[in-house]
Amino acid sequence: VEFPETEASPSPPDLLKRFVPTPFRADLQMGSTRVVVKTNDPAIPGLLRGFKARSRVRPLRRFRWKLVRDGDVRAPASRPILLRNGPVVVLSMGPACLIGVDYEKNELFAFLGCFARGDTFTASILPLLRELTEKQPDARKQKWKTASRHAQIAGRND
Amino acid sequence: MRILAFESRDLPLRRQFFFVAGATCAVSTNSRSVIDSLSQWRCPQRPFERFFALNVLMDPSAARTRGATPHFRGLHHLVFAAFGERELFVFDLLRRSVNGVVSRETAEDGLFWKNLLLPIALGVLGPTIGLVPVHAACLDRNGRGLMITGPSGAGKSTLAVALSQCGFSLVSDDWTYIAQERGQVTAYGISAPVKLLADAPRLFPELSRFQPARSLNGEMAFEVDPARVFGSPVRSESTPSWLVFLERTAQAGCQILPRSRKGTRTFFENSAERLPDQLAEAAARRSEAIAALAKQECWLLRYGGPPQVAAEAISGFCERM
Repeated sequence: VEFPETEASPSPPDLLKRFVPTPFRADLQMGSTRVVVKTNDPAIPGLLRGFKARSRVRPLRRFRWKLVRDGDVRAPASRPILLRNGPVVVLSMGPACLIGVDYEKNELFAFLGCFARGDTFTASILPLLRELTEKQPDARKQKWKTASRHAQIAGRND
Repeated sequence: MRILAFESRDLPLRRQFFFVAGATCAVSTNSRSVIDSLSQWRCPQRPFERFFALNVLMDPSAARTRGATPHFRGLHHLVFAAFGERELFVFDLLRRSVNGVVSRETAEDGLFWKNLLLPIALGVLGPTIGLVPVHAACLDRNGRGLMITGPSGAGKSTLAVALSQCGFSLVSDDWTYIAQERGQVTAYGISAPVKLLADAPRLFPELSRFQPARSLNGEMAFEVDPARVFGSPVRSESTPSWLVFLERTAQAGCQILPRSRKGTRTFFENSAERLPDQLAEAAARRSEAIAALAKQECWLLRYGGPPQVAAEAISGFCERM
């Protein structure tokens, strides 16, 4: 009796980009929140230097950011939409920018397309990330005005 | 910026239950059209423990982006699926929920829900609710399931259609959802259309009156209702008894050989999507289900030539076993 074996398929491709290595790191202080940033983009820690953590400040809250530079996405940002359900808030500008925040787990994830580099990152995306981080999960619609303004600016930078 | 909240007052149609491929989906929405689009899976009450919530806001100001292919990204327990600029779904694998915003046109488009959103939702959330998506066709004869798997392009769908024309009922042609229940493995399909590549009319003349179109993965393919086009009997579930691995050969003919269970298990494990560390429990449950599936009799089918010949051979083989 033969027991032939078909080649086991190799691991499937990481279509969601869940496992992109994020070797670059920054430690930030934003108000009373300490943020540990991990990213695959070596330029991002430099763009965050204005928020570098100082050891003397005792944080009230800790947050983790994972920022993935999505080099495949060259599309411009589209008009932003923000979805809010309980502790999860998602801000989308189409495939060019997807940001998810889980306030129960104090985590922020972002996929940033090519448009969100350099000045666009500093002027529009970073304030957005900051506000999303400092928000409380029960924030109501009227409290998102600042985020809304920054998102609109980012969305116009196409 | 458009701000959309998924609160009770925003979703007046609350917790409507649907039973899809072995899972219960509780839909809350502001759109009667969404409920109507899902009506073929409607069930009067919550029947099962494999459960996820689907919250859908129809945004009257949103427009569908023509020709947009879905854009998927995910980190940890959150997975995003953007359909163009204004339509978005967020899958929360820890809370077993899907939140989405759609245009009126998408809300009314039954094919969007049947062919895209529900298969995607089950594929993404499945492992977290105890439903394991495996890349295999499934057929049924007298309550016994025949699962056919193999590398992409091996011809699972063409063989599945050929088998459905010689005494088998079709459960699924591409993705099958496996659950462990009552001490046995059950395989579910989603009544999705069968997908056959652009050259399939030479094997199935019934397709000659259709035009292929670009499918989700960019291939030109026919995606057709098997009952309507081929007269295939269709079932929603089966109990797997045989697992068959396809291996195409250039030489015409058909050979069926035993295959080890260990190799089968490894194949399915390696084919499954990698899950992040945050979902270790779901990954463990998935491994258990795969191990249970791999306890069935496993065979290797080497064949060349038309799928109808292989289907006849398998049919005879299953009768004898």
